Amino acid sequence: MTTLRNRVKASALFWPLPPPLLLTPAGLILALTLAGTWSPLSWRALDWVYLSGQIGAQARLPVVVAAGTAALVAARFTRASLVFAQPWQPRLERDVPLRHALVVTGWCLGAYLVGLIPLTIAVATHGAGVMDPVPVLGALAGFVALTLLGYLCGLFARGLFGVPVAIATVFVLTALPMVADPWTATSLQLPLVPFVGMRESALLGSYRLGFFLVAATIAAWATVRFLRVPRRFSAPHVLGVMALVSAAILPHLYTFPLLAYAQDGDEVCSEHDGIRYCVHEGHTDELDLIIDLAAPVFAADGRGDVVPVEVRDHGLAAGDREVLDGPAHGVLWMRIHPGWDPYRQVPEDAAAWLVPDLFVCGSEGVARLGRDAKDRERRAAVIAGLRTWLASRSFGGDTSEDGLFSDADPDEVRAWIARESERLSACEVEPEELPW
Amino acid sequence: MDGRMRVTLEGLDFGYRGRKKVLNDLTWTLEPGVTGLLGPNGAGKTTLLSLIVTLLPVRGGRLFIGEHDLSTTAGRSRARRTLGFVPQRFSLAGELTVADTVAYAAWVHGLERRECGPAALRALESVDLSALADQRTHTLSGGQRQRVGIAAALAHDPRVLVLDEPTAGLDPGQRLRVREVVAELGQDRTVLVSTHLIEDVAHLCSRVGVLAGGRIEFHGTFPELKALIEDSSAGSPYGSEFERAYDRLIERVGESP
Repeated sequence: MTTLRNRVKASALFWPLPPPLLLTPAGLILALTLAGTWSPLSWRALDWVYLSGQIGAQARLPVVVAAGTAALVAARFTRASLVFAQPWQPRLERDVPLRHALVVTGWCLGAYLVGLIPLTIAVATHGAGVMDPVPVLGALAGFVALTLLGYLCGLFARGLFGVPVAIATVFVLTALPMVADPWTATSLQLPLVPFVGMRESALLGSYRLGFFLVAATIAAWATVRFLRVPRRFSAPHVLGVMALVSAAILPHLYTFPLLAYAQDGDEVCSEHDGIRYCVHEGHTDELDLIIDLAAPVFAADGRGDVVPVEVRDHGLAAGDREVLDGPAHGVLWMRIHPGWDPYRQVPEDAAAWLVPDLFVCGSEGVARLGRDAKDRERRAAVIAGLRTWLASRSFGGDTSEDGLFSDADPDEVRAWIARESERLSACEVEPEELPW
Repeated sequence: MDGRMRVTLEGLDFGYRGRKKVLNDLTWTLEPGVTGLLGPNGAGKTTLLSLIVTLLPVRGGRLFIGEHDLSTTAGRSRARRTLGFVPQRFSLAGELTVADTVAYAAWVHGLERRECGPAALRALESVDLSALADQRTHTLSGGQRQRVGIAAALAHDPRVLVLDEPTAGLDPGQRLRVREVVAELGQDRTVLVSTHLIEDVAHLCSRVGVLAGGRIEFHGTFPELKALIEDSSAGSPYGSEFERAYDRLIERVGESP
């Protein structure tokens, strides 16, 4: 035997499992994590709260690989017929599963965390806000608990059948939040992606953390108990499963708040053409661009009494009520979140503020001009066309659309808007009435 | 230190729940060296081995491995570190090499990680498998697998080694090799070999016990057993079941080459 190979095998990093059994899933997890976080590396407005949520969200597939690996290790290395898995062997009950769990979780979780390093560096370089520890701890506890669950599947199945069982079980558990929000209390996925100014609700995050800690404890206890002589599924195992099921049901009986307003930063403001623009201090880099993109839209409209008093970063909000009451107070709330596209969102938000929503037209959101279009759909087309035209002002009027406003002169449109303001608000303007 | 240990069984009773007693007031002492355990099917050999290796709890009577009392949890726990057991049927993880398998077994038996590699090499040497240390276990022959099993049971240097049918299913050449290994091991250990094969007992056991009706009905050397068998045609003092067992033994001895 070569000495180097023996050293590697006997290394505490792998012992007592064959290195390929750990390196293969670790490599897969690393690749999955890098692939999942590659795109956000170039995003604008990255922040620590977003990263805190991503530590759970990005683990969805890696934890399935980890659970499958744990099941494979349990199935291959704890079979009662194996010469080194005999019930009287002193280390079998506790040390063996503990060691297996340690090296499998260590490699899988380690690879996952290494995969998150580029995103962490990107956030550390440009990101705002601070890390939210509760969802991070919940995600790490969840990763460990679900990996142990995979080990348990391999143990109970007493064969390789446990591997697909573990993979399917953990995949379903991590996918359940897509079915209903309450499952987010017992899964790695946060219900919504938080961003600066928001936090996952502390109650929900704490429940998730507690649930996964209990789940990991029960899984570890059930494993040790199962490996005792004789190996069988016993009443305490049933009790453990019932305890977990009960804990998983609770969020369906009590609705946890999903997100909370953090109010954790100062505002940075600037005024332009009589409109105040304020962003969270973590979004200071975005402020000038927001003004550059929004101001031409408001200027194109020209109605001094319609433009907002203030354009305000949602990260500065103190609660839902304040946001909902924004229009009544002349405040346009703008969501600046990781990955946002200000070149699309700012003009659209600004134009949407100036032009009524299509529902005013009673066309159920349909706006068209064809021969068979209904009158209300044709009137809606005027509103939609105006909105698009206003939004295009951010870029000097460049629009690829060959619509109702494509030949319009900006001054003429401004005058027309002022003239038809009330009828526009009531969606009463027909396409044929347009003066150009 | 002379690490050799006795195994002492005193009035041992054992019965599975709701069924007739399998072992009944069994008293026996295993001395260092190789001892054979013979007995007809259903005599309780596997139950006796399971009690000695702590797989079953001692419920009636006493069982000592050296000074460790197996009727106590602490005694069982300590005794396990001095025990090695090769079950009749066992499997190996095909993805591991021979050396890895034995090193893993050494660790599971309580050795520290750093000690396992050298311990595995020593154990493989003692069963003459050093040359196959790097080979994966799925490539081994039946006899080689059996010797890996023995090495795995030996790696932590147990004072008491229990082998259940170690030569079953092996061809004559492999059987001979395993016998040589076991005989060698018996020089500084207490080895108990359960077998159906009289040749095994004849060639490697310094003493032999015959289990029948839940008791050790005979304990002595193989020549003494043979003499008893020869006398049994004149009428046995040990009861009908024992006689039937002996009838089978006589037939097998007669068949032996």
